[in-house]
Amino acid sequence: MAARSDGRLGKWLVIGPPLAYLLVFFAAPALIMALASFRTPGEFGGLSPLLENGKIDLNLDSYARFFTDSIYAQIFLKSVWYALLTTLFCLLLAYPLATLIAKSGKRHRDLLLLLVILPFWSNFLIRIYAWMIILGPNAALARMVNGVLAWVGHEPVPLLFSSFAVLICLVYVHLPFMVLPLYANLEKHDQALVDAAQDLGANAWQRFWRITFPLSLPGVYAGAALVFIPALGIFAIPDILGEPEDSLIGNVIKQQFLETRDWPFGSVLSIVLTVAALAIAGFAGWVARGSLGTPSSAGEARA
Amino acid sequence: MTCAETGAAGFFGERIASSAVITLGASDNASVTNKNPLLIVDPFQNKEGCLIRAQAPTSLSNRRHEMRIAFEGATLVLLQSGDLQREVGSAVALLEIQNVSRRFGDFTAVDQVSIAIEAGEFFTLLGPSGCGKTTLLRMIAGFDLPDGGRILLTGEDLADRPPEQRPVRTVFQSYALFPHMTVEGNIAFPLQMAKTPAAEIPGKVEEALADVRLLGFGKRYPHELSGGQKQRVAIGRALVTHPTMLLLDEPLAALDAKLREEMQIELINLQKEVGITFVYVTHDQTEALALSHRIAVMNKGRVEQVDQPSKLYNFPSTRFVADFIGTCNLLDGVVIAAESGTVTIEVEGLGPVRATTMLRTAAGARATIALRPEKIRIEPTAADAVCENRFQGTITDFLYLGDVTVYRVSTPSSNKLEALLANSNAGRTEFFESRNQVTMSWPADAGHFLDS
Repeated sequence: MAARSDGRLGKWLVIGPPLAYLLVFFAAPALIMALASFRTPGEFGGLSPLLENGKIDLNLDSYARFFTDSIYAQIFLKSVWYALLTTLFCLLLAYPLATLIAKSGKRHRDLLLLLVILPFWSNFLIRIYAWMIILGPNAALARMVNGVLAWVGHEPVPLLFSSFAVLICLVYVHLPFMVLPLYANLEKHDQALVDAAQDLGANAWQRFWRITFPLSLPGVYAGAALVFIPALGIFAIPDILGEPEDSLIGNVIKQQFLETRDWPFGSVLSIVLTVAALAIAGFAGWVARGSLGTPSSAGEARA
Repeated sequence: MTCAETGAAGFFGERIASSAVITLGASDNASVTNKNPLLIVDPFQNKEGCLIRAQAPTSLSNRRHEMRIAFEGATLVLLQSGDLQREVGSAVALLEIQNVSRRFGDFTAVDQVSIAIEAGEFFTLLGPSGCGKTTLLRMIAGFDLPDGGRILLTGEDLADRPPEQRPVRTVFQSYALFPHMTVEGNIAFPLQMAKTPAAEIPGKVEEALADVRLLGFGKRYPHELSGGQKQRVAIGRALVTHPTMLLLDEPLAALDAKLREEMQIELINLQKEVGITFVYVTHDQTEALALSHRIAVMNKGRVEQVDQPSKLYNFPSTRFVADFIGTCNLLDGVVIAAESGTVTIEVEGLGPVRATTMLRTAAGARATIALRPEKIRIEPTAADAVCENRFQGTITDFLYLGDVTVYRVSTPSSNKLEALLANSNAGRTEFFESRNQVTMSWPADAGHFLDS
């Protein structure tokens, strides 16, 4: 009996601190935000009192505004589109890279992995500012691109402060999050399966498309989630590298809280964003299970 | 379906469907039943020609019959071995390995190996680990290329063909089933790669499932199967496209003893049924003896001997083969007398031993006699021993194994011999104990003479 309660105590000692942390710093603010989305904005920003004249002031006004004014839906869809493009380009770039790392020898592999995570050693904002310099009008890249354009008779284009700059930086920032889970998956692949496919008559493309790629899907989905969800809510990159019309949903939320000071509407946008991200991730997971047959078969592929 | 029976001459020019059942019962007792007679003469052009060896039942004679039948297009032609030489040129063998070498740095994995494997054979590459057998198999499959020599399949050099373009299939030791596909998906895969019309695939998959006795398992995933079932899926997947040759890399190594024996019998029957040439790699000599028509014993990258199982066992040509196949007493000595067919060798620590041989030798030459433990008789006294070679000894150890007992007998000059006595021997009443004085004896033709 004593041993049993000891065990229970031990369990609480282990899960207690992280649980408390999540309750205080994640669940409570999320609830406060959910509540705020139903409240009325204050006259000078923030929130108006919850209790007014003995009545509780909760309404759906901010939700109504989101669903009636199509500009927000448009920005929202644009954000989803940018996040999708970012995920796609990250996948296209990360797959060959992860394959290369997984296939290289032990010594090279560690070095290559180090290079993948090296950007994390410098500040996120500094790296975005670095792109300002790289893409700037007087930088070599812009001169080269515009030189080629002038040669074919096209007007010069600005690289900085454009959707192009936003997208290229989104891909740059999120690439490691795609490479790492893909590498972790590809590294465990059994070469015998690819050999068997070749022996059974599959050419290089068929071996990739029928064997390697389906078996790497758990890694692809993990990487896609790690890229798509943060890319959906990002605001710093469009702020620094984009034009005003490149504003994404993250920028609008930031604007509602810091500039317009309409907290209820900012909360509505945040909640819609969270729900949408969860829904998309859930849908992707459901599709993934369908395409993999049974979930455990994918698990075995990693073993 | 056409069914042709007996009377070899009747085959000439007879038209026959490609999936006919052929029974050849010729006057000299040769008989072949082949459900799937598609050993293709020219696999690269997909002509439906085939070569079938007619083999006499082993109970009647050990002699190979040279008579062959061959499909050419849809017309069946009977060829005597001489005709075959003319018809197909000198390349009678399905697979010819000519002076093949493979080096990894300083290590020579395969050293000047030459083997010819004929259509319809169950051929085994046998040897200890590191002898080069798997490297050789990988070179046949195309996963590795020889540094020297050539590999010819039906007369064509395979050097420029990647694995996916070779009409051979491999059954991998780890089975290598695709975990994200069902059993059906796995078996359909090579058909899809070969661009088989989609409508024909389900039928062929069913047929393959029936061949490996897995009907009803088509919808399962590999992780839902036992080891033996996975093995059968791997074999069914490899056979479904009717390859010219099946390469098996220690396919039974991962199974437990009981299942292994069951699978051995199944493999023999399957090979007989489909008539496809099997090239089998194993380090297990009992497995090789049980399964194969012929065995190539390999050691340190070289082929020591290529022969039928019974020849390998009874007439090993090298010390290594004698020692590796079963257990063997190797008696080293010097030839002291050599008459026609019989030699006498002075064996160190034992004395003069007589053996029969066809080999020419002369007095003074060093030689070895390979003597199987079961050929030695043990009697309590010298008076009971009747055979030519007789030696006194003391039993030092014995292992009672149920069906047989293995005795270690030490001679006065402490030369140890191993003898095996069947416990079921009719009239055997005496069991020997350690430290018993006994007389060992064996006839001159029991020992096999090895020239060293």
